[in-house]
Amino acid sequence: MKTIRIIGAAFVAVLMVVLAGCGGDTPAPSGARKLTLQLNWKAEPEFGPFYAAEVNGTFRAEGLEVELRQGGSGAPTSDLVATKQVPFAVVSADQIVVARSMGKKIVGIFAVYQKDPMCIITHKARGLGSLDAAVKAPGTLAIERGMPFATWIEKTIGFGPAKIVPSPYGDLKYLQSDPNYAFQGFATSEPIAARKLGLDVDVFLVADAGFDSYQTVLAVHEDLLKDDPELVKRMTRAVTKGWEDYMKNPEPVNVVMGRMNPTMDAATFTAVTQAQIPHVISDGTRTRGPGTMSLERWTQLTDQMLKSGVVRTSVDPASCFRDPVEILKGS
Amino acid sequence: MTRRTPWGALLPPLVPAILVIGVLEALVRGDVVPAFLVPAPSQIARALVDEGPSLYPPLAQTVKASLLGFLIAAVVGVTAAIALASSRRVQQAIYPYAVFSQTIPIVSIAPLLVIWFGWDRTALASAVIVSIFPVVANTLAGLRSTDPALVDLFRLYGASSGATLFRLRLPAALPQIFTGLRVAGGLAVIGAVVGEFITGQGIGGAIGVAQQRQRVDIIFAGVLLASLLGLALFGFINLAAWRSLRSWHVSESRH
Repeated sequence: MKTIRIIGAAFVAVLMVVLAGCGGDTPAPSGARKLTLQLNWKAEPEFGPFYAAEVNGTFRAEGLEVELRQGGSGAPTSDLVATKQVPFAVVSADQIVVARSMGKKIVGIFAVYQKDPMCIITHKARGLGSLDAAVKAPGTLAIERGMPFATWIEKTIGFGPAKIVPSPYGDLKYLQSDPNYAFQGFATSEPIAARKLGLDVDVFLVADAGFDSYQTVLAVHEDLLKDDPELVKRMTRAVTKGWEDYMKNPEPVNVVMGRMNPTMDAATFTAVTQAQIPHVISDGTRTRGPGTMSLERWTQLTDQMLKSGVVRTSVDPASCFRDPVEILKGS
Repeated sequence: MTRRTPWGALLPPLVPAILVIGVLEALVRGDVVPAFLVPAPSQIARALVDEGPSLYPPLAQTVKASLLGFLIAAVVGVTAAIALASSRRVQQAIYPYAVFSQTIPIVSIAPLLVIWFGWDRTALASAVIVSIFPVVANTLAGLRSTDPALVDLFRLYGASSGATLFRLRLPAALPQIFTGLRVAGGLAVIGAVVGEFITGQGIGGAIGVAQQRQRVDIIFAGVLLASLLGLALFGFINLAAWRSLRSWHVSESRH
């Protein structure tokens, strides 16, 4: 009997969580608009601008009550936006291109990572001097074959004799146990964790080899841009302000994120925040503004993805994004 | 004994299949459901043809891992159950841990299996771990429910314990053993696919790649192939059950 009651209580609890999660876009009692921003990973410095907007009350000042919902490795955030289950979600530029080639109407509106931190990480002792050498060396290569950057590497560089296995998503025990293990990761994250474990690693950025996709891109459904441009503008303004605040003073925001993501300690948060600066600041952000995206970059990306067979139909690069700088100017 | 035509037996399960396929196809073609959420059955069929190279070589790996895993689970499971049934004390000592093993969420330890068993044996290990318990539990239940009168009869005639086991208790337990094997067959396929999600091999790996590519049609094609594999294994076990039980056990003799 007691077991049944516990199961019942657990069921009700799960139901409540599910129902609470369903509140996509409803007015809160305070008058602020309540909505969800779906992240594609745990609370980490890459989401600093979003958490800064929350911590510093910027969302609230824009009349928004935003729930920042953390995600996991398999979180299908682009589909959540495409099916309008959430109004805002974090995706990557290459995911937007793939999604649009399949008729999903999602659009990027703010790019936190201007330079793609996607990289291949190897043991330094192997002395592999380049991305080419790293993916062609024997041993084990952990890379998500279905991801656009991986397909691009396969088509333009080619894999060697290494056993190809899926990404360990931050799990470093394979790196620890196998001297000939190479794996994909974010230059802003895994190398720091590896060094903390005392492992000496080399990091080869895929962007330096030529495939440079915007990452940590805030995306919306095309319809939202048409139906509620004011909401998109307020969100963009809040995130832009959050970006500026976070770049000036990241520590208080890191403390809040650290409470939500106990896998990273305070020192790691600080190290990652430092490491991501060259990925967040670009010529574009200096001359135009935070999160900016250019047609040139999107054109290059869509071309590369078509040529390497990631997408089978060409995608109009201009349809993939709205430059946040333009949204803020917007009529 | 009524003799039915194969068509007569096939028709009832075909009706819902045709209905579901027809409705799905209509929903997608009519743009009621977007194709990126649920692919039309025709798209899945096309993926099964066009994406052959990314599906069938992996399928062969899954067939190997799940069949071998199932066989190991069957042999080790039945042997373990015989050992457990031999002594009340042994059973009390070991059985709780057998139950415990069944509650392990395999997904959460699958990444460790790679370290323990290597990339190429992870799917096999995962298949064995999830499918062994039903074999042990059902075989044990069968061995423990031998008709006591028959056990007495064997003792009366001075039969050795080996003879009692192989001539009486095991044959009498066959229906339950096959029940365990039927469950284990489906679980072995699931276990193999779970392991493959980590190692990137087999149908599980192919589904993982399709997820990254946002190709729902390939995901469903992969799921369909894995299910067909489970079904084939189930059918094979049923055939074995029928062949070995039809002459004497009521569960298989009426057809």
